[in-house]
Amino acid sequence: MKSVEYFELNFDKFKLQVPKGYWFAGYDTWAKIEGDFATVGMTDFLQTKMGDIVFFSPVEGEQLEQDDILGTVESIKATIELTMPVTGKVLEFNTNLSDHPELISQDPYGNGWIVKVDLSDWESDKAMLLPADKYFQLMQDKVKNALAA
Amino acid sequence: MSLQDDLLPDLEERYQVYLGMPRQLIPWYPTIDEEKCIGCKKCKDFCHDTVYAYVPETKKVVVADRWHCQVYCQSCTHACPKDAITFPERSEVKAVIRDLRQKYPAY
Repeated sequence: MKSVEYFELNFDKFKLQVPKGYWFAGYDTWAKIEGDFATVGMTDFLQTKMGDIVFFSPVEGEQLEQDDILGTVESIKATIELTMPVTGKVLEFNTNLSDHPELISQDPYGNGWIVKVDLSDWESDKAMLLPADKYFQLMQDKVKNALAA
Repeated sequence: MSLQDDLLPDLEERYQVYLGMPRQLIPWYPTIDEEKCIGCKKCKDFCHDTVYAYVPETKKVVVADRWHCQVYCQSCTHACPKDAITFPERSEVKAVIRDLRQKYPAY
């Protein structure tokens, strides 16, 4: 299996990662594309900003569109809605998150994935997303603002 | 004078664009129901993007910098104990952004 390479930013006690080859929304969710399918989750930056995650509740629905609400995440600091970066038919939500929401904090690009979908409009979705290098630039601006506050 | 200069000359650089599109053309920002607002400032304390300001004279919070609001972020609604904050319909904003993308192509 090919290992994932990352852009990395060391900030204070944090090491923020952005995996190469993934696609990112400006609202800090990611999509890993494999053929007609996508795995979706929240970025390392967002989970770091949130603090320890204690609860995740997915939306109900068989079809999710890009920019729809994907679910609600609660951390020790705040509650936020996550937004869907791609459009597709829901194949499965990560059921492990109901008992172990901390997986999002521990492994946001791996075991902390949130939903898998069968893509239905990838070319259109892609026009609204950033490749890893561009998101890494955006993330650095966000870090200055959010984590340095 | 550019379109952005014409719209909001003093908007800080980091808030001027959203994914390559002029932020001021994307109608995503909160509205506070003044009647419901109790001036607790929880929204202001929550938001890192200085969208909100507290007005001591009225003891209410107002939307001071609406273009600072992160597109599709509505997490401050959870911070408000009085449900005084609302956002536009996502579908309407999405349609605007799709139109803008035609004019301002992706990276």
